[in-house]
Amino acid sequence: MNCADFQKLIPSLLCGELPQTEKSQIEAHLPVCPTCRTHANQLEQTTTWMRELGSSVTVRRDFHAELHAKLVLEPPPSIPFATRLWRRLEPMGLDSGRRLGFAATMVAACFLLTFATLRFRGENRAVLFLPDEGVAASFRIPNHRVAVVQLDFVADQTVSEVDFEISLPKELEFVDGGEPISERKLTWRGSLSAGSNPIPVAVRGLRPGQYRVVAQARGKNISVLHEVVLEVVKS
Amino acid sequence: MQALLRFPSRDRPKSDQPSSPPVLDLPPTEDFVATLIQQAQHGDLIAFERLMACYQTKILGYARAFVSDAEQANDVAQDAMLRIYRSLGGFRFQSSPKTWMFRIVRNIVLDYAKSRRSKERKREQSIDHTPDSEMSACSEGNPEAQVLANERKEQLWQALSQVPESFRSVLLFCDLQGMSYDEVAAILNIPVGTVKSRLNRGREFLREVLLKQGAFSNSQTVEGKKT
Repeated sequence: MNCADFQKLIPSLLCGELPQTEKSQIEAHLPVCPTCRTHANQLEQTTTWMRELGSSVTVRRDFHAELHAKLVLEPPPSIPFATRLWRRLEPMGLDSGRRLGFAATMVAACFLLTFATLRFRGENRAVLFLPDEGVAASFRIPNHRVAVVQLDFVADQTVSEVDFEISLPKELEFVDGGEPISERKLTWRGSLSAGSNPIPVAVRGLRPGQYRVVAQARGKNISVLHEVVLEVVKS
Repeated sequence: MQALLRFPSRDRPKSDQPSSPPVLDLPPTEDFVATLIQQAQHGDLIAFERLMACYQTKILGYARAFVSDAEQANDVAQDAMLRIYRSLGGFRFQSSPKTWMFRIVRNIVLDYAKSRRSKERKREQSIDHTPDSEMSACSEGNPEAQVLANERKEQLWQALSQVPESFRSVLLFCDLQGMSYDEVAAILNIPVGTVKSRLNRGREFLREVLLKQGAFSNSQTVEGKKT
C-alpha cells in the first residue's frame, strides 16, 4: 500500500474499526511517514475540535424567556385522529402495522361479502320477485285440454325494457286463439309496473307427466328465472 | 422526578413568567424523557421546557451548523422546539423520543437553510456574520471560552457549512453531539454502515476544508491515535 491507500484507512483507524491486518500495517507505517502521520493527527484534531465545539454551544441569555413567551401563545398539543384511533386499538393488540392490516383486511372482506350477498338478494327481492319466493308452483291440467297458467311477476318498482322468455318442454305446447303454436319458446319485450304483473299463458299437455315451464325476465339490473311445474293428467 | 408531577392535569401553569429549566449535565434517561413528554402532551409547558432544556444545546448546535450566524441559529432552534411542541400529540412512543425530536429538528433546520439560500441568491449580498463572541459575552463563566478561542469556533462553523449536508448531519450528530451510530441511523433513516462511511468521509472533508483555511498551522498536533 502507498500513502494514499494508508490515508484512506486513517478514518477507520481512528474509529477503531479497522481489521487487525490493516491496523498493524498502518501502525507500522505511521511512525516512518511524516505525511501520513500529519494526516492522522489533523483528522484526530478535527474530531477533538468538533467535540469541544459541541460542548461550547450555549443558548443566548433570553432564550428561555423567548421560548416560554412563544409557548404560552400555543394551544395545547392536539392529538390527531390517527393517534386517538391507535390508542384505542393498542389495548386490543392491534398496535402493529401488520396486525392492524390483517384485521382491516378481514373486516373489509366481511363487509364486501355481506354487501355482495345483500346486493345479490336485492336484485331478486327488491326489484323483481315472484310469488312464494320463486318456488315452483304446481298446476294440474287435463291431457289435451287447454289450460291458462298465470305467471305473476311482482315488481316493487316500474321496470322498462324487460325481456321475457317462456320455454316449454316438447310434451307441452303453446296455444293461441285455440290453435297450437309450434315454437317451444316465446320471447317478447315489455315492461313491468310496480306491483303484480300477471301473465296468462295458454298451454296444452300432449302426454301425461310432470313438466317444467321455465319463465325468465331479464332487464337492467334484474334477471329472474322462474320455474313452474305443470302436471298433465289423463282427462 | 417528584417535581415533574406538579402539573399533572391539562391545566397550564397560571404564571406567565418564564421558567428557568435546569440545564442537565448528564444525558436524560429514557424514562425521564418519556415522563416529560407525557406531561407535555397534556399541555404542561413546564415539563416541555424541561424537556427542551435537556436538548437545547444539541438542537442549537445542529442549527448553528446550517445557519450563518448565532442569533438566527437561536431563532431556528426555538422554531424547531415549537414544532416539536405542536407535534407532541402525534408522538406514540413507537420510536425513541430523541430520534423523533431530532428528525423534526433536522427538517426545520434544512427547510430554513434552503429558504435562506434562495433568499440570499435573490439579494446577491453577503451574509452578515454575527460572531459567537457576542454569544460568549452572554454566557459569562461558560467553559467554552476555556476550550476554544472564538476565532477557532467561528472557523469551525464556517468550515462545517462547507461540508455537504449528508456528511454534515452525520458529523454533527456523531462528533458534535456524541450520538451513537444506531441513533444517527434512526434519525436519518439510513443503515448504520452508511452512517459510518458518511462520518469518515465527513471528517475527511472537514479536515481538508480546515487545512485550506490554515487551521492546523498554529495548532498542536496530537501524536497519539485512538484504536
